[in-house]
Amino acid sequence: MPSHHDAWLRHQQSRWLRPDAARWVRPDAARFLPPGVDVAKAFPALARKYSPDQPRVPAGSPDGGQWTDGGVGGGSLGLFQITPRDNTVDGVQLAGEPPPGMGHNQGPPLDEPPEIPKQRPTTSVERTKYLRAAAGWLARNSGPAAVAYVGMMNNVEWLKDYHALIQAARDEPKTLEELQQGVGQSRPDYDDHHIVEQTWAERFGFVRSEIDDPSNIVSIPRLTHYRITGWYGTPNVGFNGLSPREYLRDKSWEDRRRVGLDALVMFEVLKP
Amino acid sequence: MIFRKVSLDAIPADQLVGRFAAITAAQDDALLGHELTKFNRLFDRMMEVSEELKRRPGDQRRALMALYSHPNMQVQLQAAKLTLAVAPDEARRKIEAIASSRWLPQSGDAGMCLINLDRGIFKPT
Repeated sequence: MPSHHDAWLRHQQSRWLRPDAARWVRPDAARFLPPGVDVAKAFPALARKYSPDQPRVPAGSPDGGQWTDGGVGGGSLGLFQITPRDNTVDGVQLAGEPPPGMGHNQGPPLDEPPEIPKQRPTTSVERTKYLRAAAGWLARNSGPAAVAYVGMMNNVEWLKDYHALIQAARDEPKTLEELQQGVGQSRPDYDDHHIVEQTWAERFGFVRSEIDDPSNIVSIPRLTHYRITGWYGTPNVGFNGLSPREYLRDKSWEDRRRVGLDALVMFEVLKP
Repeated sequence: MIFRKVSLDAIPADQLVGRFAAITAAQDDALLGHELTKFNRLFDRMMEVSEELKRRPGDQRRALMALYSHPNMQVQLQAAKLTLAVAPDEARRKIEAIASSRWLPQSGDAGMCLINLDRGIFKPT
């Protein structure tokens, strides 16, 4: 493919990552979807933009008639949130700048996608940082922005080896049985994970047969495995300054398993 | 950035808050790169700042609440955890918001923090 075509494609895809990306969604986008597909699910930004049911600011207010999220005071808003007044072009309401709630007050930080390194980072640490940041962003973002971001990643040569790794990290939470079904299959980009940590359980006197029992092993995405392992090994205010691993060293098998299962739920691997 | 152990007793509270933010933002970077030894050092530096604020007249850890709106989620989370003893309601609400944000790994850690609070494992002091 000619390089100028790549550049054009990158430009097209990057448009979908703009805060006002809803501008690029055609109002008649439903025409381009297969029969029966819900336009609201395929293009959440569009659905918000044009839904006749979307709440508007009551008449009499300075913003009267404009679309609103229906909430009070901002709250948690998405990348394509439609908000501000004084943010129209040619009479079309645009997806605006993030409202004050994002990155200010009590709102979550601005959720910009991580910049894609065009060249392969030279160190493992730098590669890991990017891959985990990208996987994290993709896990909490969906819709056109995520599709466009993945498309941009597909155009970067060095990332071709990591597509499956990042895709695995986007798995939805599964049941315990589903996670156990993948054990021992040596799936690339997944690891077998001991709910009760194996090395430390053995060090504190638990027998190997108990540690390696099928009930104690699940198959989880590799990046999530790293995340949970890192959490176990680092000091934590919530464990009174100990690492979870240190906290558990004199605890029973049941206590260790409870923490292990809770961590799988909280790190979005296991369904609650 | 390297954060060396320094004497904190003459540093104004607002500068301590700034130091806390820089340290915890560096923690986030260390977590992303799985640099656990580096994280452990940064954790010690963070606790030194928190202890210094606690030691001051009136327990000045509430100053860390200014970081609830910091753009970095790790900064927000550590500030919330370390203000639980002085502003329990606000801090808990902040941790709950982070836990439901899906912003991993901080959302996972926040969720575990809430569990530990409810089970009495974590007793903020």
